[in-house]
Amino acid sequence: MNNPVAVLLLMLLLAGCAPHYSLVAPGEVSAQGLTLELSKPWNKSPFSPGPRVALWTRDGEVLNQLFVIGDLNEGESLFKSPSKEVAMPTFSADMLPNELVDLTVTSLKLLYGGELTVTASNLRPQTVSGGMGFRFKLAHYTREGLYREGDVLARVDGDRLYMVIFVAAKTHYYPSQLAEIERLFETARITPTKGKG
Amino acid sequence: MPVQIRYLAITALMLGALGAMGADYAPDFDPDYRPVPSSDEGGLWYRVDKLEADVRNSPHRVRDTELNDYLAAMVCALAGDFCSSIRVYLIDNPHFNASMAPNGMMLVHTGLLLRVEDEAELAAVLGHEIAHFLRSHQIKQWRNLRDSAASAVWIDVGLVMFTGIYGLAQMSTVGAALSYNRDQEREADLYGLQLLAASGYDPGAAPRLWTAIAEERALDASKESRNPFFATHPTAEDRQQTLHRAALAYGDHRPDGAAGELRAMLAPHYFAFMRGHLQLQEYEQTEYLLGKHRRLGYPEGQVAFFTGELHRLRKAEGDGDKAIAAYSRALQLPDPPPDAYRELAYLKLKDNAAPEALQLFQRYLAAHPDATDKAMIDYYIESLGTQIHE
Repeated sequence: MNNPVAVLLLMLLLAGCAPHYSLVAPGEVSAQGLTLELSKPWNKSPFSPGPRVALWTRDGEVLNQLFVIGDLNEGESLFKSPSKEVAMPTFSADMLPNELVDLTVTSLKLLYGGELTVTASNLRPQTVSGGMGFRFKLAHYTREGLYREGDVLARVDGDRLYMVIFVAAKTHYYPSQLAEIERLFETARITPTKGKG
Repeated sequence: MPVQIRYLAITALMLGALGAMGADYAPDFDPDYRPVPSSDEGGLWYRVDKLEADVRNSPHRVRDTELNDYLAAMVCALAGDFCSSIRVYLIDNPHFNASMAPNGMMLVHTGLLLRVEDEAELAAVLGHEIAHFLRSHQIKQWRNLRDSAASAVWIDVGLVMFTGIYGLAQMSTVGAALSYNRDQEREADLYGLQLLAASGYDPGAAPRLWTAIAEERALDASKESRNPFFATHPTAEDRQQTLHRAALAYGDHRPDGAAGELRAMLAPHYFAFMRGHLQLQEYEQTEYLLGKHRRLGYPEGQVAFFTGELHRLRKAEGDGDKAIAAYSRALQLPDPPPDAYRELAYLKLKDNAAPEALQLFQRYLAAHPDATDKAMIDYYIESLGTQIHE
């Protein structure tokens, strides 16, 4: 191809096709029916694992992930199944905390290919957006052997599930972001998206 | 069946049986063999040695000494003079699998241990993997792929001039490579059977295991590739039939399969291994396995608890009542998992049976005072207490 304009157009076209991360600036941010107060910037991943999920990271998805899940209706799953052979578990509005823990753990395990052992602990009540919710801790090793820990905040409101999942490498990333996540959990507000469902 | 097809089927059966009876496999190399580092095989071993260093330090290994020693002793019994050439690593993975690397690294998944009925069935799989190693299957496969890909490029260069289409011959190498793979699997099955018999195990254990695997897989059709062109392994049914014919050639040989030894070795780990399997959501397979475990005498309270978990998580018609019955049964048996109290309490809570739920939550905390979800349970104990007294 010896036409420089055509080459330039082709390059622009290819660059436009490449998926890219977009900045989530600090301040009040609404995502998936949740309003969160961010003290630091995040990066929104172009690879959303589900239609009701916004996936953010600060340093790369292996090092830290923040899943913001909301407006999830009865019968919907947290994530899209990565394989047609694997059916994701689905949410139902009458689920008690133990079932929502199972839903989260199994969904994450299947999202990561079904090979990892994801464990949950420290389930406890937590006020979320002025109502009764709960939170718990997560832990798992990645396939490559990196140990990650996490925290989950959840509440069922108006028959819909709202959840924030934070998972980060135990070395440095988890402890250094924990205070920020605690504040994010405390200030999370449910602001349902109208017309979804 | 038309005569022609019947004739072909009988011929195929005879060829299979003759092949099996005539099978007398030998290793491709001497014990303690290491390839020359500058060779293609030396390069392959070098890469896999590095991979093994990662596996050795992997957090996904089950490190229990007794269980690892048990597996290593079985491998030694099967591999004979090649004992020191093979290292076994037990991996925490609930899928049915085991694999062999060209340098002698064997990986065994915990999902395999959940499926074998006795030591002989476990030995059948270990023997199959050892056979892959002794016959240098991976380097042969690599060389086959390299040579066929190279010739395909030349054929394609010729074809493109006549057809204008490039890549036809290379495309055909995919099917050929997979077919080669299936042939190696069949050879490993038959050589594995030979090792099984030579070690004093019942060769009939191999077809028995594949019968069970075929039954389990039939419960979930999505888990077996139905397109024979793209299959890397023969189907479970094919393997069962081939092994059954071949095992007959070893005569009527039915020593004790050592089910008791295997069960005693696995019992302390049963809870952890089975919990991982439940998370796969393969409920029909889990149900099949629990039926097997009940029959084999695994810890009764735990089997009943996992039956409760299966029904609670599956949520099919009638599963709620079945879950309650299974947890209640677990709590009547010796040493039930404390989680049985908690899960039954949550189900009673859903059924608005507040006094029963309260009592079960209290019994959960009494049985498991260090429970990390104590704050959540305390919340329910307090709110149920208030509700009952109002």
